[in-house]
Amino acid sequence: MAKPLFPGNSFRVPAAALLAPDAAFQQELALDAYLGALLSSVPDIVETASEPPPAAPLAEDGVPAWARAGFQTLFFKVHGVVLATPLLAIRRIQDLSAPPRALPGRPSWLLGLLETQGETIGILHTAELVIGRERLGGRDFAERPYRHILYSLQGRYGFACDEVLDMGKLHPAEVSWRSPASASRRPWLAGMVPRRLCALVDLERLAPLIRRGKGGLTT
Amino acid sequence: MKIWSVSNQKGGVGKTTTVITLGSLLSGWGFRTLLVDMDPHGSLTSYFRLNPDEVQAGVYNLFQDAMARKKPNPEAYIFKTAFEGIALLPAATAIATLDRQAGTLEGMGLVLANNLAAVANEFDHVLIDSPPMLGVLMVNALAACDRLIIPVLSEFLALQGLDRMLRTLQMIRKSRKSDIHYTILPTLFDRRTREAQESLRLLREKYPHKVWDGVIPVDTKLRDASRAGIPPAQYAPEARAVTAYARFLETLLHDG
Repeated sequence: MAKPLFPGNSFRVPAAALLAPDAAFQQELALDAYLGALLSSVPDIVETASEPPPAAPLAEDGVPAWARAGFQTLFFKVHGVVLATPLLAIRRIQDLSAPPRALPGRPSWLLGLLETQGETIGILHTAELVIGRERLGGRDFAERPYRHILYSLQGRYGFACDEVLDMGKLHPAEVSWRSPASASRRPWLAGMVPRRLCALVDLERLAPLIRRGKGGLTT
Repeated sequence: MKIWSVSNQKGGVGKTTTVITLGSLLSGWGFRTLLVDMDPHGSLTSYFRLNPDEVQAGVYNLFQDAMARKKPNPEAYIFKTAFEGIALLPAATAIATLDRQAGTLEGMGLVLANNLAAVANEFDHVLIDSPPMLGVLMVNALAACDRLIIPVLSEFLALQGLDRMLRTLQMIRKSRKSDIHYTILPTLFDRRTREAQESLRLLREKYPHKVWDGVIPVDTKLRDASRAGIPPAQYAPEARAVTAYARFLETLLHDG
């Protein structure tokens, strides 16, 4: 019996060669940040300037003012994806010891409300906001809930996460910055940290309601 | 001005041959044609007997000017070749360093597009020879074009490489928020082999409406033309591969 010219469905890729979904997503974020920066439109190019341009909130190299002197960074994990965020955007970190109070008719990205230290805080489904609901696989977040909350500086939201990894200082040169001008898709993606192969996230821009108005590290 | 990029992340599929053959056909049909060499290997540049190690004016200068925030001035770097109607923006070997220099700078993916816009009245067609690797040069080639031509060998491994190329294209489309039309061009087709026939069938099955309905056959005349340094349409206008490219070009011009 002749062997088929092409194995077709009988060809199996070794399991180790297949990317885990979280690793594939991290690669997608890296490509997104890379292409977004390369393809962002820059202001009209002028050959010479007769006088210095007025000061801008972002330098031409795309580094935000708050990051120029270096900044403390928190590294954390959400659904297997390692993310980083400037510590200056976080008020405090707390263990999630009980599920947030669910609200009827709530959007899927809002896990519920938590009463803490005399405040009522909306707890956000960070994995859904970053990765997208359709890519979360079969995880049941009721059975395997988040374990920590990062409370935003503005105090309105808490971002649920699975693991708090470590903290460290980052120099702006250690980040591949993404301009807000290129950020119509994933506006919360501030850049990439090549040393840790992870995305730098602007948590304030991740929150859906805040996205509609001002907010975030660049304002 | 129509801008076509010829690209595939797999090497050796006939990108440069496609650029030079289509370019020579276009110029022969009366179109003012610019060929752009974005590949650090400089095969297209070498075809015109320029040495990429010694090129002093070309693609590299476009990026130097962009990084120095100068207004685009591509005319200063475009060569008129010895063949009427064909101009060349050559590659210097140094463009291999651009990923390191410019690869993280904002807007560096649009350098070529901005420069081609500056010469939009000088040429009817631009053909871009893209490098075989994703980086700032390929991003420029893809971002600048209205249409992408993807040469593909008729072999099994080539089909895998095509998936990768199309994923890259998808990401660039999303970043640019605009569509890039593409056509898959089967190249170096040897109809004597069963693998080629079967690969072509699989290619057409997997990408209906995207694969040109002809093929570019294996043809030694293309290699002879390269050795002579004469564009194929001028060297051997009746060659099987050249007439196939002519039919392909008619399809492209008809599609707009």
